[in-house]
Amino acid sequence: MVLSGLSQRLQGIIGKLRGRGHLSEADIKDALKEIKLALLEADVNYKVVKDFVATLQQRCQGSEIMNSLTPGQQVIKIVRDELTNLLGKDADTLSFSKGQSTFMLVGLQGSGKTTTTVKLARMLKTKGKKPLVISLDTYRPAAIDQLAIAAEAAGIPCYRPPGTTPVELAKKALAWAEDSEHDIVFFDTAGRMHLDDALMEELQKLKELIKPAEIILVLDAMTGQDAVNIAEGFADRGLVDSFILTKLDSDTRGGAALSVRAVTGKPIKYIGLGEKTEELEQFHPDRMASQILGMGDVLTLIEKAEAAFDLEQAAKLQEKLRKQQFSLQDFREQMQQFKNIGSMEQIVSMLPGGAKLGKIQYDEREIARIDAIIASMTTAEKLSPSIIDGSRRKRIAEGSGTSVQQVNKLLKQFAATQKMMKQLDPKAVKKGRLPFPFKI
Amino acid sequence: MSIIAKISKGLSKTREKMAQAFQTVFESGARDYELLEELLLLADVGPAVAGEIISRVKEKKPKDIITALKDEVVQILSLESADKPVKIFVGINGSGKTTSLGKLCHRYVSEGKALFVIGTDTFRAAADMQLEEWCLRTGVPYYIGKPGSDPAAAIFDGLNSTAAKNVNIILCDTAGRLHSNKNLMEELNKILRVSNKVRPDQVEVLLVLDAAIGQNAMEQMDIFQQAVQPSGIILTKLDGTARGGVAIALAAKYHIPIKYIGVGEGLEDLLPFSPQDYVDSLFPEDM
Ligand SMILES: Nc1nc2c(ncn2[C@@H]2O[C@H](COP(=O)(O)OP(=O)(O)OP(=O)(O)O)[C@@H](O)[C@H]2O)c(=O)[nH]1
Ligand SMILES: [Mg+2]
Repeated sequence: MVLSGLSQRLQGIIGKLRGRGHLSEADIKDALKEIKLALLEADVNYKVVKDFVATLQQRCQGSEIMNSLTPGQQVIKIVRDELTNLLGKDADTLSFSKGQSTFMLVGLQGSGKTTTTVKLARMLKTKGKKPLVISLDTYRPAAIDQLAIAAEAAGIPCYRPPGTTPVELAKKALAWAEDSEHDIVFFDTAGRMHLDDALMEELQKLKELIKPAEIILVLDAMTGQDAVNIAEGFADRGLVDSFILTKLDSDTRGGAALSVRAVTGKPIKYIGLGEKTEELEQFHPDRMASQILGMGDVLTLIEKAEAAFDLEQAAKLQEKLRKQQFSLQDFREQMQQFKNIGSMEQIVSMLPGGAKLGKIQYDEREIARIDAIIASMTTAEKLSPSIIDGSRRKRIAEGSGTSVQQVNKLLKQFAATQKMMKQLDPKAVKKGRLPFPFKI
Repeated sequence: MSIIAKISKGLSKTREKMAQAFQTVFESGARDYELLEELLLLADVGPAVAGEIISRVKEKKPKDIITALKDEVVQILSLESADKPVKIFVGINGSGKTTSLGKLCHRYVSEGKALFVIGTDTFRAAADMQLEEWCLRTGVPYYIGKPGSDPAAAIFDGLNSTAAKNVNIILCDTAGRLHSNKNLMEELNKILRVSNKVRPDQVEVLLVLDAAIGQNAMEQMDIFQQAVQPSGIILTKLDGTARGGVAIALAAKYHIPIKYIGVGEGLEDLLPFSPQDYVDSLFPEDM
């Protein structure tokens, strides 16, 4: 789960502040010290942390806190504001030129440029564009083959220009692409150290030649303190317009994200979340900041839910909840909707406090099993599970290919859910804050 | 070129910063431990271990705190583990497994050793071609699993092939994988189990770690440790500005030695690790 470590840690710190009526200067100092440690452990750059904590300190000493009735909440708000500031405000997509747009992907060795090139092209293809990918990596063995094979697997055209140097290849490729139907051209470049003058000059030459709409610096999200040196190294030579962070599926705390934005002012546009071609997402700074603080990536969840949920059905469900008529039938329907949203783990991680749960082992097979059990019930049974006696249980188990114990377990879970719903604050339900129907 | 020179080649920017920091330490005469801690943190040692190191140095009340600090770190890094003939290279995506394996081939060949290479990255596009290229470059015989085939079967067939019988050393490449991916870690464990069955007591696992990685390496090691118990680390890409200080934290916690360091993409750019040289490059005298 993205950034879970930092999120967990900050939640602990913030938990201590939350709900406190009065904060002494010492309280604030302790909290700031812990925030500093948490950020350092999350690989946020040392200098960035220092500045960040200094800013926090200043704001925390002001009247904002002292006059507040809930100073703990206020500190949380300030931390979140400042974190969002650091990450940048708005989500951003690629900028295109008039006519054919070219992009260069640059970065250190092994950061994930080739995979990301194919991911970007695929994403734009699904939006109706006609992307082309070209590798300029004449250095690493089989690098050009790697792009060609990965692109083919994703159904993306890849052109292999003749020549032996990157500049030669780029010239040939540009001439070829000019007359083609492609409106977007991605150039994958060889990995290089920002210290390597010869190779950095080569990139500058390529930039002059290609005149890209954007140069995208691809950075491994697990990078530690060096992220700042890398970002500055490329930025100082005019070789960064935006960032893509990769390997965020690594459970990294991802402090590099905070650092690179802070030192270059350039936006992070996308994040890579897996080896598969479709595992690329837009980067949402505000959501990430909230998630770091354990407030849940509620916006993402809502968006996904909206895409998947039948709104009318959701309204009906809400009504039922209010009248406390939530039945097994509803339970199943709701579960199916959640299945549409995404995997359980993904959903839970997006819920407020979800990060605190850590990695939950929710078995998708278990959901399928529950689904089968409910499907084997009669309508009467679904509406009033209390009629399900021993022989009905046996029939349901047989019908769904499960065991009586598994049927019992589900009925117990449902009873618990129902009980939980009865205890719910009706006001919260009315406001549309649907409870999570599973034991998590 | 000496190892120190090679590691610190082009390191001027970092060195300048460190030089300034040390200058302040010396000039002020104050035992500015906070500044030392900053140096450790900037090298990715991490706040927990950096704090421990500093407090141990403090305890000694040394006259020369720089030397005391260096001694402390050298001590943490002075570890050893037995060399085994079958070496499996593991690590996250892009850490430098295949390249390090290629460079190690070159080293062993020039020492006159008989070698064999087994490729099990049947997943990443062109991984087979990349490894084959290194084998051709260094003139080492190989068995590389077909793209899409089962990696455990590839290592089994490779280890059982006639060509593998009469060599001193067998180097095995694996696909990059994130520790957070359970299935892939399970797959790696299977590769190790198969190897141990064919070559009992002759297998060791080397974790290839990118020097730029931050504190996530700790979680990474935790999980790789459970899956395949690495007995050595290869620290790559020390030719940049990254210092790989998290390896110090790893050594402190897991007692796993760094065996080699990578300092570039050429055949010669893999060097045996020396704790003293590494520490001298972290905190050069001549700054
Ligand atoms: N500068 C530098 N680059 C290195 C070093 N070691 C490896 N590389 C480069 O890092 C990139 C990734 O190296 P690979 O050997 O392909 O990494 P890998 O771990 O096998 O990658 P996957 O198999 O894709 O997970 C390549 O471009 C290498 O040339 C090093 O010590 N210094
Ligand atoms: Mg490889």
